[in-house]
Amino acid sequence: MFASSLANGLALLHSFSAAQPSLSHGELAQRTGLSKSSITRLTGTLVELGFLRFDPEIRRYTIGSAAVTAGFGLLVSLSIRQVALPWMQAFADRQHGSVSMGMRCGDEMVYVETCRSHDAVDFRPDVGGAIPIVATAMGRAWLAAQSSALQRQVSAELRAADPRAWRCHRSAMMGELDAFASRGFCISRGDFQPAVHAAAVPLRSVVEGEVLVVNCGVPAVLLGRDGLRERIGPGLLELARRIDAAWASGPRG
Amino acid sequence: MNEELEQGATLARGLQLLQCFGPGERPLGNGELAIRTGLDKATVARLTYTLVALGYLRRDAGLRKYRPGPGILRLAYPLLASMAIRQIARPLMKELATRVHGIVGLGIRDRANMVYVDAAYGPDVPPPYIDRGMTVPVLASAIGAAWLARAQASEREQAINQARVSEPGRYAASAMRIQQAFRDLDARGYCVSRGYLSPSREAVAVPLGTALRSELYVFNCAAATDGATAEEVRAVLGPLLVEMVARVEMGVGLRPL
Repeated sequence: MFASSLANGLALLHSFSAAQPSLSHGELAQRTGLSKSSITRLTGTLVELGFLRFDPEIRRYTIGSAAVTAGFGLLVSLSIRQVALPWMQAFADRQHGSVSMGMRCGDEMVYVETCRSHDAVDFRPDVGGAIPIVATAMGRAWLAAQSSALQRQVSAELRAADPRAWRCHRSAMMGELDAFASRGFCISRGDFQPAVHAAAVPLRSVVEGEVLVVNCGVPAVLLGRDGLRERIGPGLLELARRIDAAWASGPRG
Repeated sequence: MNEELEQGATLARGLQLLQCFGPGERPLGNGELAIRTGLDKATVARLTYTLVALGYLRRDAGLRKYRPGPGILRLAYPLLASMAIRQIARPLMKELATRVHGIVGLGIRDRANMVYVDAAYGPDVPPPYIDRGMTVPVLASAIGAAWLARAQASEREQAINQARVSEPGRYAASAMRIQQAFRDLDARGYCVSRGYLSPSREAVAVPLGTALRSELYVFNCAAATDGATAEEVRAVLGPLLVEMVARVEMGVGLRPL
């Protein structure tokens, strides 16, 4: 029942990344393993619908503006973003880091809102950015909020999806699931981005049937030995409860 | 239909389904999606199954309906994250929005619309707000007018043709609107319009001098009239936005420092 042409077209779009925002016909073929003639047909359709654009100056494809429009319905439905934004921005500014809200997408967490402090950080989180569940505070906090049956199921999926990452980060992830029970937040000390340490807390509000998670990533050099556990984690816990309270009492536009 | 054409058609139908989940839309079932797209229910079921498996839709088992999934947000990330102009413009947009107690937006064209890729607000500006992914018609907004006045003729024609189907009323007046946009940009350096999102605002818009990597970016600025005339508000906002865009152009290397 799988519509393979649809999946192939989406795989073409998925080949682009922040590091590789433009790709040639040949690079698309290499990345997707599709034949050049399939790529010609599928890119033709994607360009026509605005999901891809072809830049004649550099003879390469980039993601098109229709992809931005397509995400708007989901962003609007997550109206808790608007409630959370001022709190998130204040926390980011106070801690000189970035604060994001994310939801699960397969073996990753996808950002639905991001606030940065003014400090320049190598890793620039943004809406739509995706980070792996197993290696990140946000992913671990999402997993910690699930039933033990779902935790087992997702763990099996994570192992199958990326065995190497699973071997590297499994024990840190399991340690964080245990620690969550007593302290209410999860951390990652550079398991995803070496220079950035992060803590994360799941929201109690269930929005659109989803458990959303807020995280805060801070350059490790700013944290000191215990800053993550003693400052960022507890502060984030307070932030999450404020967002929950504001969401419970506020209008749900 | 031969197999080759079928490939492109299946992809187009799948994306068409995703586009049914616009802002304010409720969860939709296969039957509703079939009615909206004109596809048969079996085809819709096959496409939604695929979109759920890949994270582009989420299935609500209780309702037996679909909602948009986070995979949709991932699609635009490489585009947004690589737009250096957003990083360069953000502090300037914030500064201007604060100064005029208004909203400053940055948009590009998507078919017959302008889609916002960033926005900044002044303090205590009341809603409605601009958000990433929000669209306004090219033919009914200052930001669209500014795009029309600076776009390449072939792209302008394409946008107008796309409006012909979706907005026949506006299409009928498009020639006049384009002429006005050219005159405004020529005479004042900015295009103007009543606020599209809120009629109690006035909006001005300024395009970059040239396209960046063949993408034409346009900035707009809107603020409440608060008893002033439209012309008075435009005369304040316009020159400030022109000046801001000149600074953005320096930042992105389109204009010497």
